[in-house]
Amino acid sequence: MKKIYTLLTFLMAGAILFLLGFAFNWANQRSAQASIDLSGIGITQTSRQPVLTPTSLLPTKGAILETLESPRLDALTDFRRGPLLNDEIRQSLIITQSQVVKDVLLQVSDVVLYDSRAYIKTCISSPDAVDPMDFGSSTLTSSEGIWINFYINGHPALISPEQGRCLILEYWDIPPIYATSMQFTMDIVGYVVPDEGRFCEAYQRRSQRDQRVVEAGIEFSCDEVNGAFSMEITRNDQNIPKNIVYGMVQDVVVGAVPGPWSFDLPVIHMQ
Amino acid sequence: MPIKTIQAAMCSGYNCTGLYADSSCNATGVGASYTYNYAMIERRQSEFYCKAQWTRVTNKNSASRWTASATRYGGTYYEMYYQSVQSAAPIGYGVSVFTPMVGNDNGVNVIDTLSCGNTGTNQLSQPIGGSQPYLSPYCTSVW
Repeated sequence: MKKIYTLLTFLMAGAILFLLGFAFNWANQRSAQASIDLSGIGITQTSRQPVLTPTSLLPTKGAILETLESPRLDALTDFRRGPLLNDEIRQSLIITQSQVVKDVLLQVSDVVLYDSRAYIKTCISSPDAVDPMDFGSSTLTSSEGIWINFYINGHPALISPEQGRCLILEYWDIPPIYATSMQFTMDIVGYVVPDEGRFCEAYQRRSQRDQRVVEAGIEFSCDEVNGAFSMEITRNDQNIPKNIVYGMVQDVVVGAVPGPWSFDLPVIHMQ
Repeated sequence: MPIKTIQAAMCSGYNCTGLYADSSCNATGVGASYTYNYAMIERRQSEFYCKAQWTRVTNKNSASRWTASATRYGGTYYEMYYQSVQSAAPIGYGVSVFTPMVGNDNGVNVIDTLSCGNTGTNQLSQPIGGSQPYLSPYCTSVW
């Protein structure tokens, strides 16, 4: 009897130990489960993917940066970063469209968007193939805004009279653009500004080869005074009113050719 | 005719400060230029001849506009000294004004400057860049 009692005691102790072990294991599993849940929250946070608008159009890198990394830079901060043009962007700017207005050929690339910048390569032919040409007011427009301010990056490519002088315009403070195209307009073009101390030399040379000035019998004296050029009409064979003569000569010496040249440019998003 | 301020005529370094560059300076551009409010703002320099720098601003609007330029230097925000110029009247597309020079210190050390410019339909208050040119979008250093 005593043996049976002892055996039952051992069995009960074993059962209790088994139950305690089971309870301990269950508690451990619950605890482990709780840890997984917590770490699960962490993983969700660190691997969260950007939720992009369900559209086939890609946002700019600027848009992705805005969602994931930092708020968009204000215009002045972005401006102070300076030009961001690099070789990769430069190589992606390929001339795709052209227009001729008043014998001036303007060629442009698509708009390349990268970061907060919009890049357009533009080449302007010279009507006389002597003096290289420069841009005038150039407006970039989309449904998101209008931009008139830009950096001017030189382009080292071969410059021929047919192709003209090429520049890369870099507009800053560009928000995410979802449109497939942007409108680019150049209102006017003209000669590159001469170096200081050589204004009059260039202006006289340009006026002497201009048919309008020669046929009207117009001559003028020129001087550089206090950081600007000054001129006086010294000959006016046809007695053209003074204000008209001054306007004509000024347009001739700076080579002003009014356009506009207007393009609807496809948008390329660089990642 | 306006009174003509003396021009460079082969000055060098500090002696060029306040004088306008002429052909003897053999001017070149420095860094990237930019346009702001139809003003094309360029940093200009004469590295080997006049040993100085200045700012040139060109009206890029098809309409005539008042055009002004300033080279700012000294102080915390480049606000202390300036060389400044404004067109005598609205000037047409492609016409420029440029500031007097800021000569290199001892003819060697380039003075740290900002180049500023603007255009407008009315006369512009000077110097361009105001009291804190470093924080003005009308001014920039070299990139």
